[in-house]
Amino acid sequence: MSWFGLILTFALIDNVVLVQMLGVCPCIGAPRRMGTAVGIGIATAVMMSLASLAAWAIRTQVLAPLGLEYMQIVAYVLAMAGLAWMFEAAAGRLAPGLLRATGFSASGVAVNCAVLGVVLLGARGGASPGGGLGPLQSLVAGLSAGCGVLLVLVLLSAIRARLDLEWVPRALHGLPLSLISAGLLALAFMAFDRALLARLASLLGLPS
Amino acid sequence: MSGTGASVVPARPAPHVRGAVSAPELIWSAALCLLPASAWGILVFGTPAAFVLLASIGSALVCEALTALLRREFTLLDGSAFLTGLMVGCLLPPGAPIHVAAVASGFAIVVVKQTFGGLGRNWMNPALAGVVFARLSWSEAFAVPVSTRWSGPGLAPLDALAAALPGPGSGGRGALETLAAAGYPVSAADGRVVGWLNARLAPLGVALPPGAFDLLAGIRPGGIGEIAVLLLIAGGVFLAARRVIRWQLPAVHLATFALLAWVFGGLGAGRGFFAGDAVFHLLAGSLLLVSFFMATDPVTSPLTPAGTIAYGIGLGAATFLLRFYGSMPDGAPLAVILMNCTVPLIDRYAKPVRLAAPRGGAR
Amino acid sequence: MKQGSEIVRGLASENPLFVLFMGMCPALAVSTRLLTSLWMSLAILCVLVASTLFSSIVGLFARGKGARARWLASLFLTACFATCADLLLGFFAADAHAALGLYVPLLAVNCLVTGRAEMAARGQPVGRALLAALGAGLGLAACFTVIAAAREALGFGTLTLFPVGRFTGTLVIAPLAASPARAATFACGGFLAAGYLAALAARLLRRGAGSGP
Repeated sequence: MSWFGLILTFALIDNVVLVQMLGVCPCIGAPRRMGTAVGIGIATAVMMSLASLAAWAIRTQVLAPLGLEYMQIVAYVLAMAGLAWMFEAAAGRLAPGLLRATGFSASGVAVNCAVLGVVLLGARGGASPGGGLGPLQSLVAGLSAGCGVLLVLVLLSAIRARLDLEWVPRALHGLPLSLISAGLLALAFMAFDRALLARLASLLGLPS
Repeated sequence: MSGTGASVVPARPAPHVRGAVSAPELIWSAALCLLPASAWGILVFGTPAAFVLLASIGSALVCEALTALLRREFTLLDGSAFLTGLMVGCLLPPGAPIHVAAVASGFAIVVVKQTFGGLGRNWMNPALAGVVFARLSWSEAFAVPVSTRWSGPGLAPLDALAAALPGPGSGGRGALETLAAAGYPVSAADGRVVGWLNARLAPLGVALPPGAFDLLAGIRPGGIGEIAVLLLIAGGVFLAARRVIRWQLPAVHLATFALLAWVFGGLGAGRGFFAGDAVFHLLAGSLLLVSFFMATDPVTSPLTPAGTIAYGIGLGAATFLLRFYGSMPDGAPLAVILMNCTVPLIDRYAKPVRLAAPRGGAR
Repeated sequence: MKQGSEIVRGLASENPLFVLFMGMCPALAVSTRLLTSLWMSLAILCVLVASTLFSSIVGLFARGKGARARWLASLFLTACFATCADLLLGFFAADAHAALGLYVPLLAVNCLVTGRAEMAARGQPVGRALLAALGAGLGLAACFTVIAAAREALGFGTLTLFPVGRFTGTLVIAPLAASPARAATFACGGFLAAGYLAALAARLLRRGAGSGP
């Protein structure tokens, strides 16, 4: 997969939230404050890229030589937890107000389905014979996926802020309306599919 | 929030922050401007088109009545359900099954509009979302070959558009020449008019391709309401003159699309830059219908002038991308609903005009 | 300072419907066939019960060890059981395993499962933890089955169940199968189905509780 294809696939075509339906929790309970949404999105992007890279390292340097591929989920989860801890410590030292201001808990962001989903996708994707993407590819894949999540977070946050609930039936308030909005967003995002990527790639002369 | 106007506005929830443009008179005038194009579609395609329109309008009215009943209201008279049903029908091909038309309309009304609180509260265009849902669900219904009254059966509407798109095999021909080579039907009138014009224009070295007259006159397989390009343009101009729609939005949308189509449209066919067939792509498909009547929906487009321009440019770019490179040959509906998703974001960062917020002691 | 606890506590104390649907969301992607969703419900139930049980046992012994350690332990246990579920499914039901793809391993970080496990590790009595897990798992299975039945009926026109004897397992619903609405099987269909079911459930719960306008 070319870089162009990798980035577009992870960010839009196989968008983590709207196509694979992972990481819905932070998006659906999306904060109406754009700052919080952007903060969570950026944190998710960073976490996804670091976790993908860490997963590559664990997969190729630790699990494969020892023949312990079946332990990969446990290993990835523990790695993600460790990353969350480091991230929280680093953010606490460098930007103490940041965590509080964005109001998120690092582990909620780090150890969620979206991050593990991207990690597992990276582990299965790619063309290398050992399976999985290479280190730089994993990093870029995670970053692209995180940007996809950021995009969805920002759009959903703006949509939720605009909703006028006065005439919406009470049963639909809150979670149902967010899910339905996500559904309509997913309908629109069907515009991005592999055919689009293939045609754009051939136009630009890149392999898809 | 909008609660400030609650005491000012009567029981029917008017989207007062978005202004009075959704008042029933304006909605009915938009419907009126769309009727000539739909009538032409029925004339060209015959009774199947009439059934599709009846199904979509009927389904829209029934769904709106039932869901409004849950709120103890009767909203059919504001015209929005009729307009949505009409728009859905206009976008569907005449060969569409009745249940497809009915479900597309029902989806538009129930899921996209009423779920969010009814008129003025939705953030995605109902008719377009319903049609996209139908296209994704029943793609075979959109590929049925259609015949017009004056030309024989040919390629199915969307196939026709796809055949006209520049591809490696089109060998530097224009869109209409490519279609003619693919066996696209032309009417006898087109043969006569184009022949006459070509004879006159021969000294100038200009030759119109076959099918040019059909395209302009509205005799080609396509959606029921999207083929009558002249009637649609007239309707759009009338709506803009009556201030029902803002003229800037379709102007920027079509201009951006035309520019991109002209500059980049020929790349796929190997003709290089500045060789795209912009005129054909403006007139073919549902672009004019969508741009004048649906993209301009004041509920789902930005509030501010700057936001409108940005939205129009985004629409043009998205339509170009999806029309030329997307998997749905007619990219206009999908492009608009994709850009609808960004409108709340655009509005957030462009300060909206407060139209009805009483300040201080002013009631 | 409290890691997963904040979000988890928030989820747990909030509307139980919210918790249920949040836990179900990742699995929604595979709720396109009834049979697949039945297998998924089974997997969720097993992982949920197992991790809650063992987490509460760990919680009994690790009472003074600190929240972070308990959280890590419950996470580790959940991941182990998700791996077991994945391996067992691959062993006993290869078709279902292929259909479910990476959504069974993802149970390792499912908000509902990790939330219940962490609550159990914080010292909830074993019996109560088990009952809560069972209740959540069964509720989730019920919602999941309804959504999958609707999506498959509308999207494919069939209902797939376990093949028994001469019954191949597929019920064809003729009028729907002739012209299925394929968009129901895409992500947008999943979100819409979940949204409307959540609204219905909220309405029924409110009616049942007797509160409301």
